[in-house]
Amino acid sequence: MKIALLISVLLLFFIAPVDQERYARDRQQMVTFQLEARGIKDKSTLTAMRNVERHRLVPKAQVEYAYEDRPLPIGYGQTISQPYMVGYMTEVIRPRAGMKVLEIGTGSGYQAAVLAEIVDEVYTIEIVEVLAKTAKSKLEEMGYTNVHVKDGDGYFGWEEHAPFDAIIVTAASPFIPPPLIEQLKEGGKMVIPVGAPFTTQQLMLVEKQKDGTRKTRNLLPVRFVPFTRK
Amino acid sequence: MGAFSYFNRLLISIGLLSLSMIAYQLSLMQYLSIVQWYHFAYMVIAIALLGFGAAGTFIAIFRKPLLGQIDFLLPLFMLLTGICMPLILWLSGQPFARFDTYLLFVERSQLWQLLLYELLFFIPFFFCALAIGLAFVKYTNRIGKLYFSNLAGSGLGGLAAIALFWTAFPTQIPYFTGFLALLSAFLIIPLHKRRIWVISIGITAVILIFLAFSPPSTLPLSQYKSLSQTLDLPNARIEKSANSPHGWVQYVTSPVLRYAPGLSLSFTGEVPVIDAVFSNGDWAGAVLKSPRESGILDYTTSAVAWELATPKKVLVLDAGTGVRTQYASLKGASEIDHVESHRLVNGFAEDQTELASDNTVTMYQQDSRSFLAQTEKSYDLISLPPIGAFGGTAGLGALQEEYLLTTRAFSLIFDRLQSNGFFEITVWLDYPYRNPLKIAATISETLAEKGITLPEQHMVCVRSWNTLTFLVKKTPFTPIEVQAVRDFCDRLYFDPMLLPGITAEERNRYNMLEDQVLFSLTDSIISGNRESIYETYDFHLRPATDDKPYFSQFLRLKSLPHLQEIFGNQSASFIELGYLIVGVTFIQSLLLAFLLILLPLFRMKKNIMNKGFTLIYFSGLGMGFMFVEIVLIQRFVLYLGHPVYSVAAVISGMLLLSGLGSWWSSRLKLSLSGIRAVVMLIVLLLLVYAGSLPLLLQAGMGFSIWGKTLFSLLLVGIPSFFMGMPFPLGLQYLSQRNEEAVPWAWGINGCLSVVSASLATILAIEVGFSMLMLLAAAAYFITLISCFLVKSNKDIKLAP
Repeated sequence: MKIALLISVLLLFFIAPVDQERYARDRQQMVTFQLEARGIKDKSTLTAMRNVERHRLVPKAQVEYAYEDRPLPIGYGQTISQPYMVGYMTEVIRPRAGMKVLEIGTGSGYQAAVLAEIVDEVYTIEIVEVLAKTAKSKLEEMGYTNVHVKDGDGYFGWEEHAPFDAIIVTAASPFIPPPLIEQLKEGGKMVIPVGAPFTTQQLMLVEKQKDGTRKTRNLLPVRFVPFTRK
Repeated sequence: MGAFSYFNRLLISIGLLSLSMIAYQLSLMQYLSIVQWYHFAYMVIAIALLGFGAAGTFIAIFRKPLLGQIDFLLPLFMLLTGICMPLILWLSGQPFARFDTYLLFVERSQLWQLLLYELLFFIPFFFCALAIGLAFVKYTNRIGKLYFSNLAGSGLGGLAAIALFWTAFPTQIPYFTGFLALLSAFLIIPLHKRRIWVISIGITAVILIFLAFSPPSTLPLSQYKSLSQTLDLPNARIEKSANSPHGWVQYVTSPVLRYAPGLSLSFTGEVPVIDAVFSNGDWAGAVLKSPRESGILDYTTSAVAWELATPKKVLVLDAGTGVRTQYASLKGASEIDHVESHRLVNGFAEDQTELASDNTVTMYQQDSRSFLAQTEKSYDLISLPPIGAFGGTAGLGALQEEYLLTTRAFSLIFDRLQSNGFFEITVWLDYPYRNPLKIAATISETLAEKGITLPEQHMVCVRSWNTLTFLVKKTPFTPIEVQAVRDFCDRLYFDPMLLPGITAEERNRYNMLEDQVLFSLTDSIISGNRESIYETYDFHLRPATDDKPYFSQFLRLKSLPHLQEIFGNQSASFIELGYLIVGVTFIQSLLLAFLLILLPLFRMKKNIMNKGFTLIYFSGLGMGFMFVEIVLIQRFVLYLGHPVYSVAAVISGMLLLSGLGSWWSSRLKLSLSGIRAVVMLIVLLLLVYAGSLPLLLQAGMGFSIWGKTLFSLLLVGIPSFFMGMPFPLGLQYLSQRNEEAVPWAWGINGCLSVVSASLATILAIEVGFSMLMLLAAAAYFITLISCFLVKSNKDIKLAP
């Protein structure tokens, strides 16, 4: 009996740190082999992705796969994006301190957490109420005080905090809501994936140029999150 | 009750059980189309046949004890069939058995879930087949009548399914079919312990009827179905729901549903809130409350036709919920023909929009190809439905016959244009490029067929960030029209992709692509260098034809290593899901058929004489019959205008007429040489059909619905009548020489039918329907050859 108790106490002290070490190692490997090896160079993006504990943002059943090179299902027909895609989208908007970024489609909250490591303020909107609540509580638990989560329709953006330096739309949509373009600063960048769930998708960059012209650029084939509206 | 009257009751019972099973099978196909995707239809066919094959094995191994208890076991198996029909459906929706097609990409455990799913659905078919098989083995000397009862019941099951689709919800149907299976048990309950039987069946029947009207389960839709995702939106509600053979349809509202496909980035107004219609859980169309709201289309590439002219006579094909019709009305067309075959979708368009009261619009509830074949009108503009879905479909449409996107359909459309008329089609941009290239190829081949030597003068294509609209004109575009396209593009930040006199710079101005591949491939296709592109591109770009109407099937197996090299682990997403599922079904069927049917039977084969004959004769029959069935179903989709009618007509027609053939054969005193003659006749008939069926159907395209029904029954019935003979004749022949071979033969036939169901689909895609019919003839020819392998040369006269 005493031995069992002793073992339990020892386990309590040792297992948690061992797990943390393993996750830190997995994160490091993720950054080295999935991001750097594929050309992600932006230092702040790489540092952020080394820091954010992705395993804390995925559903329990998916924790052991958290750092694998693929998207994972998080319920409600949504996914947490493949790490490389999060890194790529982050790098594309060239994030830096002082910026204010809007994210449409909070999902698991992982993209918001990565951005929060770099920029000053992250505003994120999720239309599926349960996902919004879960992400909000997890992000608060993880200490991200500069992430503001709203449960609502991303179509209208977040006018009170506009304009934004950059907008990341994480759920592909067959059209780009006009209010989002309005809320993007002149010279600002918006990234948006185009394509069906779990298939190869295009990542598109929308640029609002200083003369008011709007141009798009297809960046690379990506796999991303399924959309929530037609 | 004498033996004769018992046999008559047994005939009715077997007919009723077969009817319930086919109706259940068809309803299961619909159920799986709703909760997953329609590809599971192939899986259901395979599972059903596997159940029959495995039951044959079971009977072969345990023949004596089963026959010893047959009076008790026959009604018991029927009772179990009736109970399992709804029970299995309920179990398949429970968390332990839940399977999701999309998760196959990311969770390996889903393969086991798929296997479990299949095994569950196998159970009712197995029990049903045990009952039918036992009756066959017990009364082999009267197999012709029993087989007739089985086939006729199955045939009527197809019609019963259609009736049930119109009157009951998908969750209710298994209770009704289960009830019919109980009735079949009731007809043959044994005298011994009769009261217990009556009470048991009675109580079960009451429970089933009660549950039919308050089913305990809802439809466990995949979370990735459009309907599931839409219902996750705030305040989303299903306002109306109805079932039909076309599909289970919902009318959904939500204050956040909006519609603006490929909207220009220059648009600064409010995108209208819409309602939506879903069919089998998939998006079927937006519903705009008034034509005014369709004005949003002014800011999409599909508006290009209206920039060049104001067409007065407009034809909208596969018009769906009427968005394009409303737009044509808004833009001032004075005569609009709206053609849509889906009765419920048409109904929603009529009830929820102003289309019905718009006197410029005539609504036709008809398949677009039939309409094109019958109409003599000509139009200023013909509008086709958008191709693909936003961002692609993960290859889910790969196995869908799309008869409106074949070269023949485009040719008919071109012929229906006024001298200055256009037709337009919008395509969602995909990556790697497939849909736009195949459309360009289809248009180019159509123009070439019409003798147009400068196709680039007749084509315009405008590209936004995610859509392309192709516009084809009967005469060359004029300089004024070309300038209008340029102005339209500049105003809306679109880029022209095809335009007479286009420059490289203007193609990639507002929506920049990574490379020029899309442009160079399109140019090559249009300039006549198509063959080399078809041969060298990684995806199938050769236009779909009526013989291979699979527009969305792009996968080329030989390209897989190259795709793997380019896209690494992402290449899995190019293995079109539809094709993948049929492939997986084929391999699983092959393995399971071997394990459950052939392997056990090989244990007892030492007691069987003429193994070569039995194996080859019944293999050929199983394969040939299934190949013919699949070809006829596919051919009649175009002729009858909808897969459901085709499946019902072909299955019912084939089974009924095969049943009659079987009945007729029981009166014939056929020797082995007589069987040879029948099989030879089938081979010849199939050879004739391989060449002439498309022509016959084309000739009968203009018939009325009754004319078409009679013509279909005639065309399906002639070969089916004769195809119903060799199986009972073969079994009878065997039973008189070596009775133990009978269940083995049944098992082999089942096994080959299982494998052939998915194999036929793969072959239809790869080689086309005409070739598949020739392969069916070859399969029957193999059966013919087997008749020469019988060792004992004494031809036994078969009993009447």
